[in-house]
Amino acid sequence: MNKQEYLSAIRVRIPKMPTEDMERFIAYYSEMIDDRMEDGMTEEEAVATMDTPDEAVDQILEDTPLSKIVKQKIKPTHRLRAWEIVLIVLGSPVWVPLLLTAGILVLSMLVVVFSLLITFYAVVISAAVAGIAGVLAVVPFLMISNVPAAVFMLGCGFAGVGLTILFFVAVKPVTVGFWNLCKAAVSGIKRKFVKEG
Amino acid sequence: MDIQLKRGMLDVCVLAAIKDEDSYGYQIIKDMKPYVTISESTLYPILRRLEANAYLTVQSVEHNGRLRKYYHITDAGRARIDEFQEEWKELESIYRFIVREEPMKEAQDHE
Repeated sequence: MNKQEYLSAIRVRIPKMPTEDMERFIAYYSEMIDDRMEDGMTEEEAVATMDTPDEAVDQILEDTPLSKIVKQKIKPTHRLRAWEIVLIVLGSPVWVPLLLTAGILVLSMLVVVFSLLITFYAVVISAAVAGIAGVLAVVPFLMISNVPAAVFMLGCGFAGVGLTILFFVAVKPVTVGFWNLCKAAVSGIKRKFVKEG
Repeated sequence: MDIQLKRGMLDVCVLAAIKDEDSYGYQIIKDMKPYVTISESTLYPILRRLEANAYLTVQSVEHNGRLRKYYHITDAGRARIDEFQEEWKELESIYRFIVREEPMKEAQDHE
């Protein structure tokens, strides 16, 4: 791959990136290749020692806030004409509620996802509390010499503690998985926005 | 290595690479190479972050008929290096605790 191919490979992967940012990446990667060539490498060698365009794009995306990408996406490509402004104003009873709905939908999705996680923690904690309480409840039952009830409570307590231990093992993978899922979602949204279409 | 820890240290590495004289992207990577290998796509966000925090300034200089960006450390950048040296002492003492071989005898003796 030569320098031109490398740079355009980056460009085609993120065509909707804000122009100013795009030019800065391209200037940066272009300078990197030029400096390698000045250091004695051929053009092909220089490109071969660089990160692949995919790796480069991953870093670029990670570094660009989502708000910036979205802003670029919705920026009109030309100055709005008078009739377009009139249409936007007249259409506002339609698009304002739609936009609001979309925003609220996203917000409620976030709330639902976080509630799931919190519910999971709550279940783990309540299993722990129930388990410990069950074991402790043995004492009063023994004091009134109700042995069957004491044994029953002890069994329930052990079941609760056992469940807690099982859940506890899952807390870390679930939290990490959840976090990765959120990250993947954000990165996926970013990709959707910077790709053509 | 822990990604947050490494990221913070790489920021200081880049500052150290330009502390004596202004340098440019590829030179920074080459200067760091004997100690730590980073790729240009790792370096890019670091440079951007350091610039945003005013630890360095960027200047485009004409070189062989093209523009090359030179990075110049600011006073805040130098202060960041000093700060890191203080942080390092703390890290070092944590390290010594982690790798110590003798059991915590002194603590027991005091009891």
